Amino acid sequence: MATHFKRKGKRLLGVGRQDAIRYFFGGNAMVSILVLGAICGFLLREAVLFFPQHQRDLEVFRLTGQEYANFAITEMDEYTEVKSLANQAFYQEMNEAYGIQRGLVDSFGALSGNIYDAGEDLIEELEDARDEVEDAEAEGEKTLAQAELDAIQAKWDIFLRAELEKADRKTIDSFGRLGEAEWQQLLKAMVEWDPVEDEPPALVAAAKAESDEGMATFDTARTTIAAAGSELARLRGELIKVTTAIKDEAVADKSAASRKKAYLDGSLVAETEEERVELRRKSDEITVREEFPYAERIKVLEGSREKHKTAVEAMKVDLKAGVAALPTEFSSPEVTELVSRIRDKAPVLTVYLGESLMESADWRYDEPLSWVYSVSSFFFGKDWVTNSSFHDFYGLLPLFTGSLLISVIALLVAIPFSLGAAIYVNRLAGPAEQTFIKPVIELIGAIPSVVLGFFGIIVLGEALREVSQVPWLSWVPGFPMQERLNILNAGLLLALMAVPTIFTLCEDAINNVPASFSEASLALGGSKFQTVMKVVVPTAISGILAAILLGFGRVIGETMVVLLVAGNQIAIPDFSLGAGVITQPAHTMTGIIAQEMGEVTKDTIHYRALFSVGLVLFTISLLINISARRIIRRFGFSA
Amino acid sequence: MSNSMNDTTRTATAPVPNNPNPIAKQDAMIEIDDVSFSYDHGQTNVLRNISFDIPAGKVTALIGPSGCGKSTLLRCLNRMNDLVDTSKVTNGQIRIMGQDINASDVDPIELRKQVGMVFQKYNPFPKSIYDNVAYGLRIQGIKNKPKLDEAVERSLRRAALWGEVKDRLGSSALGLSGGQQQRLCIARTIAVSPRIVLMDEPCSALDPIATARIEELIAELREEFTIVIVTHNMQQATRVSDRTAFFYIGELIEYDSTAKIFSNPSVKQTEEYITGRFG
Amino acid sequence: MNPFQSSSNARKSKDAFGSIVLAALTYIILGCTLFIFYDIAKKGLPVLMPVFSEKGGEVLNTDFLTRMPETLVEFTDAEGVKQSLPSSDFIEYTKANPDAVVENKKTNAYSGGGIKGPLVGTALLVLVCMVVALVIGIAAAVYLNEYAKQGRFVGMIRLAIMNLAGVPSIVFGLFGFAFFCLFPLIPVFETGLGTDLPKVAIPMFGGHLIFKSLGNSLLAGGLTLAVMVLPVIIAACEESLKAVPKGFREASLALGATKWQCIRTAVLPYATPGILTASVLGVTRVAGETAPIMFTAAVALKGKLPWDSPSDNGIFWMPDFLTDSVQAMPYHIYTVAARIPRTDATAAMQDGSVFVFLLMVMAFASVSIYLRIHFRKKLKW
Repeated sequence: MATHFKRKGKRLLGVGRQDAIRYFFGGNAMVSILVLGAICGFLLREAVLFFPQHQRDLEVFRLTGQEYANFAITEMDEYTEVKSLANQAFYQEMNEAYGIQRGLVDSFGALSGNIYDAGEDLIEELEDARDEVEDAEAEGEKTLAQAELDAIQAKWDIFLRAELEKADRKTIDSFGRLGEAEWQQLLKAMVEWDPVEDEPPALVAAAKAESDEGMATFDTARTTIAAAGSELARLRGELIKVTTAIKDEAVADKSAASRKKAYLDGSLVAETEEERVELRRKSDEITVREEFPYAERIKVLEGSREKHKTAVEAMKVDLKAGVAALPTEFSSPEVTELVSRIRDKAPVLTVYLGESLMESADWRYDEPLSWVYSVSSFFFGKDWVTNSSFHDFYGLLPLFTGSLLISVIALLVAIPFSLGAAIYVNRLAGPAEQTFIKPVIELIGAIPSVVLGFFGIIVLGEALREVSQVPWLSWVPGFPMQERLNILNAGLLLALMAVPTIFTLCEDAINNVPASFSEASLALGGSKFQTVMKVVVPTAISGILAAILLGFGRVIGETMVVLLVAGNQIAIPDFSLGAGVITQPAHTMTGIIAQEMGEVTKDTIHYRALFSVGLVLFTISLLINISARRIIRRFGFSA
Repeated sequence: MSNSMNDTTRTATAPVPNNPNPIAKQDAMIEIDDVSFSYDHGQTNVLRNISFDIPAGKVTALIGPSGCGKSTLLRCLNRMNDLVDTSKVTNGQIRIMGQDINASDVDPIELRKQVGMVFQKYNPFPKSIYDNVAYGLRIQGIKNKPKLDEAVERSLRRAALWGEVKDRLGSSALGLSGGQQQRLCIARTIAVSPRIVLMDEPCSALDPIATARIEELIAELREEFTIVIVTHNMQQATRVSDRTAFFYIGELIEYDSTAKIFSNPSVKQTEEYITGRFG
Repeated sequence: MNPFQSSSNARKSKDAFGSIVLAALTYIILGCTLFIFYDIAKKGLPVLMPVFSEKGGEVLNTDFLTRMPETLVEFTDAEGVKQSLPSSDFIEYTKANPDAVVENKKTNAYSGGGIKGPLVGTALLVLVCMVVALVIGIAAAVYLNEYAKQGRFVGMIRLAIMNLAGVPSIVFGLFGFAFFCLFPLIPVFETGLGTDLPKVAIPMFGGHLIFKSLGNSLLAGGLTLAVMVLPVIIAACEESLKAVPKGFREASLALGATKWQCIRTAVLPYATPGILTASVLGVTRVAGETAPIMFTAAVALKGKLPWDSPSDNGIFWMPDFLTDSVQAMPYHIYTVAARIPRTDATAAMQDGSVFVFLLMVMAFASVSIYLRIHFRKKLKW
């Protein structure tokens, strides 16, 4: 009976049907694994190739002297911040201390301008008539001219009164600085206004004198600060011009060989003799060099160091004088705050200028550049500038800071809500509540991010701005907001997106706490709430931590909300504002990829830079996932 | 299945000799010949050098304390252990109807059609009663409705379930009581007409009344099938089986007629076990 | 005296306060969510169903669903009444009234007409994605769970898949752009190429086998989305396969079923509810995504539907519309929300699109949540 249990069934090419089915499933698993492997491969390849390319780019940046020009550029940027603070403080102080006076002066300007535009013909007539009176020599002629002048003058007076009657206070005094009384005073004074001489009425002149006098110290200080940068600004412009010219030449030089060949090829197939000669000539014009003579070109920078030094020293002196000249008493805390920021920043700037000057003195165009520099200037570079006529910078820091700030805000908001909701739903809510709360929170996870972004633009941004303009909330840092689309807006929306992730995982963690733990606590006389807070939550803490981590992963990888709502300003947010930093716009790592990927050419440095950003995101999300798992495994309890 | 054997117990049981084989070769349905088995690529054997023959048309009970390897041996008989990737028969041969079932040209699927199995935890599919019983026939390609009807009725009658379910063959099997579900599983097993039925503690999840029904059923089925039953209930072994094999930590200690084992065991360990002194 | 009388009122009120705070946190979340739904519905519903607008009107604005997006022309007519018409209507209007006064003409891209193109595009993207992801995902899950030896290797694969489920969608977009759009993937047999050969060209049968890249296309976008959702599908399918009791497999195998029969009759039928739930969940995720299709498939404006005379892709075995770019709802919303200034005239397109899109995605999400709860209640073994 040895034939029992033998294999039956047909075989095809030595593969049985069962094996074929097995291979089908295995093949699909293989495909998915290959694709998932390809993701890592492609990201890694493009991202890694970025660094040598970046290094070459930076080498050119150095060889052409653009790097030297960049010292002046950054110095100017830093200085400009202080300068604009000074201007801002000046105008705010003027508005507050001499609001009415400035209101009178400005309103007079606007009013007289409007009337002048409206009555231009009449004014010309008036002027002519006066000239006539002046020019008239004969007595009779004079009376005649005078009569005409009087007629025109009368006409003008009527016109002026009519215009003043019509004047719309809202558009003239657009800042609303004038009270009703002042407005009427101005209108009255305006009657004296002579359009030909265009002298302000006494009231206005007095107001101007008063405000000018009151602001004189501040104005001197401000202009001193403003003048501090003039020399460096000139030098900056000059440096940018010459170094960019070197770069353009160097870039053209790289393609010289291929261009020469193209013209030559073209001349060979040219149809007419004329064309052939022309192409030939063009080809001959191009000289192909073994190596670009950077050393020779860079000579144009000779003398720049000396100029740079003088300019920076001059700036330091003027700045110091200007800051010292700033008044000390101000009419509002905002101005005091602004000026104290100037006072804080000025010494920092001075120190920075000194350091930058020293660094630039040591700068050499031919100093070799290592790959470490290429890597570190990507990860710690403070600028991300693309499509620039000067030089493109690929620095991750502004994007990373933006992403991080937004995520942190989102988490700070989301954690109490999700954790609270998880505790409530799992331990305190009734079954009826549970059955509707859980699905609704899960539904949040399905709201498309582009829809939330839209909501952020249309509704939340507007609402936040209105709230921030409420006067009694002005103590809140960053209020009133300058921008509708900012870190806070994006953070709040992302908080909502993080809620389902954190809630679900926290709820799971709390649910997994063995009943015996809470029973023990209840049996010892603990109340339900005490048991939850003192026993259940601490026991579930590893799960909760993991939930928070995964929530972080969710928000830092989110694209559309930040692209639409974060404001897309590529700059490291100004942390000197303290907590108010969150009302500034920012750009993010995800946002930059979404925004720029569609416009780049394959294999360019920009294309690869975006992949490097992608790789950073990929790595962050992997690290978060792995550590969340670790936490659960290591600190989790076995239920 | 625990295979963590410590050395002290192993030395304690090592000197026990293999029992002489009391069954004539020609009656043997299953011949187990010096079989060792491992769950971990042969590093530790959970069965060691087991040899005995199981006669046709009889009920053979495998008894012994938990972890002694009796369930493992049972699952070797229809190669259900193949499902564990690292498991392996490391030594010896199991022959059923003279065929070495671990030979390379044996198809475990064909084997299992002949060697049915009833599990410890009754596991009907969440389908109708009818579909459960017809399942095995359908996967063998039988689609003929009258034929299936006939087989389902016959199997349910054989499993003494027909009277209870004949009016609701289309309703879900999960609506039956535990005992009924286990009998349904037996009906499902015998529907494909195996030669051998393996039962792995078929009553351990059932109450005494349901257990009694199953035991009656086993007694009825013995004429048609060769039954091998694993049980840790010694009374059950005495009630249903003709022959009993006693296992202890992976070794066969004693194998004889049930009457002999329970009245006059020849090995001291068997006696200690059946009188409840250990295990 | 009652010895079990409550001893501390302070503790009681502290407990009550804590519970109220937790409840408040919960209901604030719900409130915010419901407010968002309400706000979007309030603005969008009148666009889709003018009968709900203040002015009233027809029950369903069929034009909105059946017209392609167009440029919207705003102008003031002779009576000084402000009008806005989609560009094609505007052209007809000027044709019909050659001496009509048109003043203050202003155009807004993408803001007129309807959303047929984006709706169809999104449906196609989801379809391509789900077909690919479900076939590969389910098969891979079956292999990993039923066939593969459960060793360290499979464990590592599983871990990799789980970790990939958390990778940001924009990273999948990057990958899709590099791999599906730019990398030459599609084998095409061509003759008469002459000497102008691409890098990889395998000569055969008197011609060459060359590889083409897909470019910005429906297929590239669908595949990118499929890759993104694949880890989710595999994980969910594996979970539902694991939930099928081992007893079913044993019973089936013990009755002499082959591996495939066992999977087909004793495993897959009972994993189907879970797989179904996972697929609906997958659809929800995929339909709502913008980032992965932004540069792999979607375009802002397209005058025709994908199957209306797509441009020839030169790949004889592949339908042309698969390699044509498409419009898609999320991208359409991104375009109108981010690039078009919001005025009274353009708001209708913005609000209407967002409302319809949200309704669509929420419908799928609700179905998936319902299915999960329903099956969890029903399936117990």
